[in-house]
Amino acid sequence: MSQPAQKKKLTIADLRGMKERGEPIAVTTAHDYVTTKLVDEAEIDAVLVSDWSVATSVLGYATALQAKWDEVLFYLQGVCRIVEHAVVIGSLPFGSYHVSDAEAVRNAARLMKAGADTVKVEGAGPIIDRAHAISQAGILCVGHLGATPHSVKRRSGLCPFGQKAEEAAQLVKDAQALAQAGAWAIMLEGVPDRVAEIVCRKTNAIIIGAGGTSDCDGQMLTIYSILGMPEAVSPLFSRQYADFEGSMLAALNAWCAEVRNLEFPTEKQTFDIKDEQFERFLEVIN
Amino acid sequence: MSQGKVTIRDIQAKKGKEKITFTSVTDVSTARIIDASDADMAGAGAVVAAMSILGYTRSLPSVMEQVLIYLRPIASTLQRALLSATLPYGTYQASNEDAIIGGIEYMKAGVDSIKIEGAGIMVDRIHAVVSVGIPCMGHVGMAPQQIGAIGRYRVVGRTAQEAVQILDEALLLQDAGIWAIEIECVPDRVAEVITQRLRIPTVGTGSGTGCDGQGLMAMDIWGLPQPVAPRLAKRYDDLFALGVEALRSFRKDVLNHRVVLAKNEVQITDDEFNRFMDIIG
Repeated sequence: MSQPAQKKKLTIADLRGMKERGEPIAVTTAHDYVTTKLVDEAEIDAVLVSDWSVATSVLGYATALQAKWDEVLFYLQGVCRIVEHAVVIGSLPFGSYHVSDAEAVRNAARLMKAGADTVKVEGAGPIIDRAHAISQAGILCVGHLGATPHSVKRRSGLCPFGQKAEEAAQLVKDAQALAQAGAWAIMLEGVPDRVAEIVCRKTNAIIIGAGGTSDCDGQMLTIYSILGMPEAVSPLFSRQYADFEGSMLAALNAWCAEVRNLEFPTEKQTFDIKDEQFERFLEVIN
Repeated sequence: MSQGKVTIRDIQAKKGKEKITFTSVTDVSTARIIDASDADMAGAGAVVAAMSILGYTRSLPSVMEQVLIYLRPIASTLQRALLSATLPYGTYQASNEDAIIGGIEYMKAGVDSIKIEGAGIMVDRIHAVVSVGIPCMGHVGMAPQQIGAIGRYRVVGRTAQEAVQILDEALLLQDAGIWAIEIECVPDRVAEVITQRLRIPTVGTGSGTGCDGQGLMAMDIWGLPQPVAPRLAKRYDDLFALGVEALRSFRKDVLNHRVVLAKNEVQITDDEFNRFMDIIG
């Protein structure tokens, strides 16, 4: 694999420019060397180090709520060391910004120190104050509304949000309040397209659709969904662009078969020793 | 594919009969795929944290706390393949007590065996961990954590003197109680002789078909990049190209406002939408 040439790092100003030009923003997730390299090579605009993805696809937890601070920070550190092009959005894990504005700012700063370009908080209500406090501290903040991963227990599952008129109206109000509080972008998850479109029109923040929401300023789909990795399919929506699971399994089994049939390694994967040295080796050990 | 958990005894029984396959695993998603495959064993030690996740070019920077983050979930995901993981650099060198403490941390995380690289003083460390009942693999030849002493990634054992030393090390490690040994980047004929002289299975990485088994990183098998490009690995697919293509298609769909979801349960009825528009004016 040839090392790709150094890429230009995108900034949040670049993403704002895209919104102004009406150019949709592509967002996916990453959590290690391979996923970050894939994201940069494909020139994806922003990459989310998602506590939900880390919890479920990487560490096997049932929900995002279980991802611990050190776990999310570890994977964020990796992505930030490796990324060359995409804007890095660090998810604040459940519990790391709920208690107080001060704690939210402290923890947002820790994600920034790990190399994140911006941090993401979920929800509204007092979280709007947290977004304000984080923004006031000079840290760019992303909001997240709708069928959010942290709300999965409270809402008894991963179900759409905004299918009722009152819920939809609340979304508009919350999005406006978040934008007012300083959020430069807001993820809208599991929200009907027609509602999302109105939220877009009524707020200045960049609106990124996810989890079944698509008609926005940008779109987020997790990398394991795009690649077709095991159990990455959401109950609400699905879209796969490759079958990594099938390809990976086939490749592993092809290798195993070659090993068993003595077809691997070939000479290409083998090193030689000069006859003279080999004879001496045998003399010494015999 | 055999049923049930692959055990150390199963692997040892293959010596001289059937070749052993040893690959790597980085998270629960790849663990599910490894478990569904024919591979006998998977590793998830220091290399995963330092190189596969953090992107360093060496395995040395990983620390115990980071490795435990993924080791526990991977261990509980693998229902079949045997999990063997190398202790992080710095956790076992200083004393036998350190090695035992590190080994116990790994066993509590659910690994089936630990692995300690190198010989010399490591023979003592390995003897100590095995004595308290911790299964341990050895690793000779181009051991990644010995990079400082070896100087650079290179073939080890091309001179008679080096070859003799590797054999001596392998025999000492066997006496210390390891149950299997990885032989990395050693000339094939030398690795074959070592394999014949040992009772325990040898797993070769770049060491020829004479070993009892083969080790290859899953990322190399899949054609996915790692911070150090392998010179010799064989690719069985080009998933990097396929993945980039998939992500570019996604990006193109986003640009064209055409992310068509195969299934989308997120809709609003006309009634509710009209009420919504009334509310917000």
